[in-house]
This record gives sequence, C-alpha cells and structure tokens, in this order.
Amino acid sequence: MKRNIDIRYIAIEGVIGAGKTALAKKLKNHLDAKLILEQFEHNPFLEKFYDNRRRYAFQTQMFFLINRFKQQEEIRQEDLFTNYVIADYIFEKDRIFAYLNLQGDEFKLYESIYPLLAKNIVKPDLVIYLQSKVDRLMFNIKKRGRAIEKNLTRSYIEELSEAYNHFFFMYNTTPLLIVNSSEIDFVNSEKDFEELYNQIFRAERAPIEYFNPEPIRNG
Amino acid sequence: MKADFRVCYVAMGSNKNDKFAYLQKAVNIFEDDENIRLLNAASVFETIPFGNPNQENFYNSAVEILTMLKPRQLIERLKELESQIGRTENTKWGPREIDLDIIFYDDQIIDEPDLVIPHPGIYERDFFLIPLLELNDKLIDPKTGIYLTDFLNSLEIKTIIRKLDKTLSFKERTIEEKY
Repeated sequence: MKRNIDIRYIAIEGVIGAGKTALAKKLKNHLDAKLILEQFEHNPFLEKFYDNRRRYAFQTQMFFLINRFKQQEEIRQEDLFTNYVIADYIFEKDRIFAYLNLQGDEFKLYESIYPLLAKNIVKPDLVIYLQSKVDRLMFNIKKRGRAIEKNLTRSYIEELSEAYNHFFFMYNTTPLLIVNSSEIDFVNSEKDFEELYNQIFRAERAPIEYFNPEPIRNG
Repeated sequence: MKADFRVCYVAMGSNKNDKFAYLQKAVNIFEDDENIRLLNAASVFETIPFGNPNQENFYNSAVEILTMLKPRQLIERLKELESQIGRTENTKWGPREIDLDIIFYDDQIIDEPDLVIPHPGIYERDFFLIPLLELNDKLIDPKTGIYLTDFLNSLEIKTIIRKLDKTLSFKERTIEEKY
C-alpha cells in the first residue's frame, strides 16, 4: 500500500486565498526548484470577471486555458530527473472553473477544446491540496489585498470551495496530499512549514494522504 | 449536501461466523458509498474478547476514510451498514457479525449522550490503537493532545494475539498502478 516515490514535480492546489503561491515559493527556496506560478495578473479580463461573472466568464476562462497550456510546455522541457519543479496550480484546475462559470454553448465550446490541450500534460509526482475554511480564505484574501481581487465575493469563494472539495474527493490522477490548512501558518511559522515539508518528503506514502498538522489545543 | 470532506478513522470488529468475510464486506460497502472514500485499511488482528470472555475471538481492523457526511450522518450510515452486512442482535458485549465505531472524526470532539468522539475506548484498547497506528503513526488524540503511540506504551491489557497474513482488499491501489 505504501511505497517510495521520487518526488520531483509538486503542484499545489486550493481555493483562492489558500496560500498556494506562498507555499510554492517557500518550497522553491528550499529545493532550489524551478517555479511555475499562475499568471493571473496577466489576465486582462480577471478584474472585470470578479465584478461581473456572467459577462466575462468565457474570455477569462480562455485566457487562462491558453496561458496554462503554454506554461505546461515549460514544464515539459524541464529535466525532471535532476531538477525540481514547483507549480502553484494543476492544469485540471481550469476545468473546475469552467464547470462553475461557463454555460450553454460557451461550455460546449470549452469542452471541445480542453481535451486537445490536456492530452500531453505532464503529471505531477505529488499534488498538494490546501483545504481551508471559507472564513480563513476570506481573511487571507483581505489581508494580502491584491487589487485584482477587490471585487471577489464571499459567495464565489463558497462556490469554489464546494467545487474544489467535490473535485478532490474523487481525485485519483496522481498521489495526493490533502492538508487541513485552516489552522496552520506555513508562511510565518517555520515549525509549521517544517512539519509540512517532512510530510511531503516522507519516505513512504499512501496514494492519498490527509494531513492534520499538529494542533494547538485546549488553550 | 454541502461539499466538505473530512478524514475519519473507523474501527471494525467481528466475532461470529466468517469474521474475515464480514470485515471484507464492510470494506466493499465503504468503497461503493458515494459519500465515503476509502483511503486505507489496516491489517486484520485476532483478539481475545474484551469485557465478556465467554465467546469467540474477534477479528479487528480499522479503515481510514474521507467522508462528506457529518458525524451524526456518518454514525447513522454505519448503523445501516451494520444491518446491511447482516448484524442480527445487539447485546452490548455479546457476539456480533460486525461492529463499526467512529474512533476519530478529523480533530473534532463530540460529547453527547448518544455520540462520543473520539471513541472513549481508544485509551484502553489495543485492538483500536494498533490498527489505527498502522494507518497513521502520527495520530494525536484531540481531547488530550497526546500521541496515540504514547497511549499504547501505557496500556495494561493486551488483547491482540496475532496479526493475520491475509489482508483486506480494496481498490485504492489503482493510483499506484496507473502512475
């Protein structure tokens, strides 16, 4: 059941505000890895999308799909025998958002394009899903204060949380580490980061693991 | 149902008829339940009965699952499973086809007249602790903050007499094969 995997390519997932990018950057520094970050700030439609989802869903989605596909090319060219790659998303993420935001003919069109692009995607050796409560996500989003996210609503984050949980409940494409990250601060606490790091690089792992960081309990 | 899932540990025990088959049946039903995802199953252990010694030995094991069900829904589901698998009677310390108990529901603490989580038995029963530690050796009791391994070291009663060679089968291995 448990076995050793040589982990070279790690992708981190989670709802907006879960801490994907922060964790990716910390891992990058530890491993001297190549970092692949989602280029949300390049998407000219995103801010408008947060303001009017129906109106800008398709443009936003297509921009991301193409952008993510281009980044996958970079990963493919990486020598994964010697180098580490850390990404702050997985390619299938695109589809989670499409299911949530596209309707009718737009969705049909998307569904005819996606499989063509998804065909040659390099699978991560490990996917980390940062599972977090909506309150904590909203807190993180507010705290980091990205201009582009100023129109994000709580109800959208709730919908995303649901969609992510559905997706990862059934996920079986790669080994998966689910991290209960509502109470953990791996950005500011070295101890929290170290605990997570050790969990990632454990000698033996099951295909799917659920990680509850050591809690501070009873006061 | 709101999509939110948590990790749970469920203990399984049987001491009637084909004990191994009952445990296997429970595993199969867990796998087929759309609100449950089986992650791992521990070895099966043969144990001497706890509480009432005048009965057959038990087979005990445990599973690690993800579930969309809330604690109360999960306990209801486990009761349904018990009767589905063929549990016929319900005397507290008597022989049973299958017994399913929630040991941990994530790190939640529930203390109500008819539902206590973590299961109070973890502090004194090796047939709960040992399969659980096989599934996750870093488990911490949320009530006391103590590692389960530490409870094991202070156990006074030992009920496990052997670990079976035969293991419960389940599908989660498919990832490894694909990968």
